[in-house]
Amino acid sequence: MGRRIPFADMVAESPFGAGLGANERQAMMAWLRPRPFSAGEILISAGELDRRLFLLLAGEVGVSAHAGGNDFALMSLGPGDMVGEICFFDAQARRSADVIASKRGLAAGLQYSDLLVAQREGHPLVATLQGLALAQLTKRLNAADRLLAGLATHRRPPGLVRRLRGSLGLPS
Amino acid sequence: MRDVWLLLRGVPGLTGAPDGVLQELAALFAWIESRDAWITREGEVGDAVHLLAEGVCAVSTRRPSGEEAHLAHLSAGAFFGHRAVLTGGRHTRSVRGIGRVRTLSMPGAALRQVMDGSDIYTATILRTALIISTARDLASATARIARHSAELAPGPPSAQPD
Repeated sequence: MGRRIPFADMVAESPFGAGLGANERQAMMAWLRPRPFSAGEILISAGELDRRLFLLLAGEVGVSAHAGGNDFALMSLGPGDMVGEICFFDAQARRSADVIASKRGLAAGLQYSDLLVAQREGHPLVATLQGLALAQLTKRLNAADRLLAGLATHRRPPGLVRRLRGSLGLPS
Repeated sequence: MRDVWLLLRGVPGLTGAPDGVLQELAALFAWIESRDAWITREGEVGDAVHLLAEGVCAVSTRRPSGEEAHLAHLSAGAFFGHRAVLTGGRHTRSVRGIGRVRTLSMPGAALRQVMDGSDIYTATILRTALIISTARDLASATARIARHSAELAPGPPSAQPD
């Protein structure tokens, strides 16, 4: 059995705790809730209204979308990634995809109302999360654009979708 | 400048911000009007962030073949160009106005100054507005990918490798 790393240490060693002083990290822990998950567990369901953000500390989750009665795997995410950022920042948005654990792991959950508290207190977590969110959204949007540019052809060369997904590091 | 301030008041993320903050932000934007013109071109260095105020824009990217692939439409309230400015990189998409378009444009240097400045509140709300706009782009791209995939694979995707 491996040594169990305390939740606070995992947060501190993650990109979400990077650059924070001891006092700032301690304050941040009041807003973060451990969210352990097992393989197959649903963290986020498409269509829901939920303003929680999950910061992935361990394990792996898969993001998938529905259309035409089918589920389509969009990407896999792991430690250092965040999920749920669209609804977290946009009060008018509903969850746009399902997020299901593919491997057992741990996330830190943050409610939007707690981010507002952090914002009022001028806590650097806000800028850290916003910077990471913009970087992550940019990366995902670029990947989505490349996928869409390939999908938007009238004729589909054999294996195009599989090759595109592979080139983006997405599951085929 | 009052028209800019009034417009900013309705932008998701900026709604509810104090008037003084919005007036300061409004002073950094300038109106640009164009007709059927490219506003950003893929591959060019990002030097401004644009807020689409009136009209519709088409977003596209170049395929390796050189052909332009349509990706999305942008409507009033959408920000674009900020990702290249904030990453110090180049535009990954081209944006072209369809017909008459009015944008509010802020120079990249001004955007970086707000983001890195000492006024944390203003930086936070502007960053929130940019995140919301980018997140909406991503949510609609995700929906389009799923729709296209459904058209290409009418059966369950796992049972029908493409």
